[in-house]
Amino acid sequence: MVRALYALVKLSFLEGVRRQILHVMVLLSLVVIAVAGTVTFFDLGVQVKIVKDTGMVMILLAGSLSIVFLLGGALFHDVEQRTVYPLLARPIPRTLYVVARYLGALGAVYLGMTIMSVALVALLWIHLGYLSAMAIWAIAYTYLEVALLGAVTLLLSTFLSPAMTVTVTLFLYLMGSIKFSYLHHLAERSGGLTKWLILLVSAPLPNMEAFRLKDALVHDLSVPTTFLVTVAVYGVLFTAFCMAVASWRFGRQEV
Amino acid sequence: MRWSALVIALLALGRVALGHEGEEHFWDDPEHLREMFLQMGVLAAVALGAVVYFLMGKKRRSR
Repeated sequence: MVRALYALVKLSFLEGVRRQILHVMVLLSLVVIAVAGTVTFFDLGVQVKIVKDTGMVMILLAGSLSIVFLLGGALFHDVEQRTVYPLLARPIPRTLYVVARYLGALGAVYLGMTIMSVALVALLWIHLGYLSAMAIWAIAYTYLEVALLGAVTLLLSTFLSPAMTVTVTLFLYLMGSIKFSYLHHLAERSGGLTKWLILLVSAPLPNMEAFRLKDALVHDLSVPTTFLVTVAVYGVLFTAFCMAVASWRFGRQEV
Repeated sequence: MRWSALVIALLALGRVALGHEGEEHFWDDPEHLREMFLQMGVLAAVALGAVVYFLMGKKRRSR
């Protein structure tokens, strides 16, 4: 079973790293991070803030878009191109296949994100002369956010076509990102039925905002450990739940 | 290259200038934690329900 999982993860990983979307996103992000690091119009304090802000945004943007596009049509295309049949003819549980597909794609995206993170940390090292612990935390929670987004994408891909999956996932991602900063304020200002409608729609959305420690990094603030632990558990639980539903759904599908 | 650098610098400066320094941050907001705990509770309840349902179905089939 472990050998099968390893082989499938490797297959999915290799497919992921060959996709052009990943190359483009990583290269584009590296260029933006490098350009942000070479801007010399401002004094050092402002420049470091610019590097941190731009770097974190680019890592998140590239990671999120890559995982959505890699996993949005993964299962669908495997069935359409019939590459899944020889695998499912073997004694491999479908759950294992779904998990391997997810882990492989996530590994490919993590590889790209690691390249960007190394570039960002190196730039910060050059500017500051020391390694900021908050930078590591902020990057780690971005990884967790991307993992959760990947699980949501895979879950939706078992119900929808690739184009719809990408569209709906990005829409939900956006909604999850403004859940507290906008939707809840909107609900507070609205009254009656509108308020409850907004709260009802926003309730099942994953709280993506909670993973973003960029502000803490940029403004050198500390984040309570309770919050960090809760968000980590929340991310892992939400991801596991989405994966379980995706596996269940794929297991019941006619292929 | 020079223009893109200028655009990035201006955008980033704007963001930094309009930053949240001194304001209350979401990690200090207990509402965030409460909502996350609520969601985790619902997810755990759904997962537990699914496991119980699966086990009951298995027991029924074995009879």
